[in-house]
Amino acid sequence: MQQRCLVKFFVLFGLTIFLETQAVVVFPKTINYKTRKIKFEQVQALDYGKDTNQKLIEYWGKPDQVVRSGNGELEWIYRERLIETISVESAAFNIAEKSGLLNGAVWIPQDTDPLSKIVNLAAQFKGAHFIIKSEGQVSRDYDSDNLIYRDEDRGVSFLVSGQSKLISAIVWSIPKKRESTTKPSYNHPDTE
Amino acid sequence: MAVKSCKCVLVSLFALGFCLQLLALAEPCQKGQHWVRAHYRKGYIRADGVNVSATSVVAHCQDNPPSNQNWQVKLATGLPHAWQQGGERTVEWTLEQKERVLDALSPLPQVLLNTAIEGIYRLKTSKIDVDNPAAGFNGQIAIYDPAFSTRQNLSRVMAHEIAHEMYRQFSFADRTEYLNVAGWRVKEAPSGLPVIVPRLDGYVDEECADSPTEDFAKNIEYYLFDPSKLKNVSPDISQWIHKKYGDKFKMGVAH
Repeated sequence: MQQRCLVKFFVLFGLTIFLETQAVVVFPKTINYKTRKIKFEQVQALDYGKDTNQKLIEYWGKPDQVVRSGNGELEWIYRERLIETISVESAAFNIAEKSGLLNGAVWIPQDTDPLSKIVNLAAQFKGAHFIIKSEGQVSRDYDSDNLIYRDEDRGVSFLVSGQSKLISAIVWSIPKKRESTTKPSYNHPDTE
Repeated sequence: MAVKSCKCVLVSLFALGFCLQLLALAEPCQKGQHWVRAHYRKGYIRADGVNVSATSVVAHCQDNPPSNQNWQVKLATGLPHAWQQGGERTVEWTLEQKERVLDALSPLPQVLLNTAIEGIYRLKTSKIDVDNPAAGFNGQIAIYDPAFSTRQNLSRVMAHEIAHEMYRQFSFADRTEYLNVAGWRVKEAPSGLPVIVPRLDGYVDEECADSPTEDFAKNIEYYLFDPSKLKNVSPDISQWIHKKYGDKFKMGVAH
């Protein structure tokens, strides 16, 4: 009886060690979301279409959630900070499932973050040429006044609240062109 | 002589008739009341869900709900500013419709009544969906013909439209909190644009998945008019609304 228990113990112990080793191989670093800080500059500096998910692991450790997107992509979701007792999503990355290449990202600023203001954020994208579009009809009885800023060449978009004019999210995708000019410009298609 | 006295009688009668007309036009109501002229009123669903049958309303004085003062001035004419649905046509408010809208607003919770609305406009029908009772954009609400049909609870329609505006006016923190509790997330769409994607389930109505603002408006509507459904389907959201707006956030007597 004692022998059987001992065998069970060693099997379970071995299994635990094995699983932990595997986890370390996939996610060598684990950072708690309470202490994690995903900086805009870090997400901005990633080379979309060239960098891989290894860079994310280096920076922020294992994601809090992985979602299969269905188009051969995985979404790595990172959470941080607390509103009362709730953690909120801070960034999410689209990753090609086979190659591990970064295809895109979303970074969500806090309202206290200077980058939640469009003027401050725009200064980070020197040379960008943003086309601004209204989010428009979002249900059969409501038209949103939220705005979407998009520079396709750079693969950067902002979602801006129409009421508060604060940035709700910044999205990166694989840029069409990788070189940049010097000054940002903002042209609304309706006023051009 | 006889002609002269006849003229005199005629003038007197005319003057008397004029005075009587003036008296009839004057609103004989006390302060805090308003005069309701005689009119035909179609059947409708009251805020509490009771079916009220059609009737000819006799002219009478009616107590003003306190909300009247704020809302009466918002019943606007013409097309809402920068209205997105091109080709929609305005119609005149009837007395009955104005009364109905003000009555429908009065039992709504104070939080809804305190929401800043720029104007309530009267349009014929929605270009998007002819059955739409109302629509909103940028602080303005359009009320369409179907809002006054016997199938619609106008209080519920108004609560829904005002809730859209509440969501628009949310602080950054409030919005983040709602998106978090309701399971909405921003994602990079295949086009590279930001897209807000819904949770997988837990909707009181399939239209909730359209957008966070529709989800919020529907959830507020159900919290007030069908709370058990919201509690069963989305208990977290029901709890969040209760925590945020408190015990007084419910349909009540006229405000």
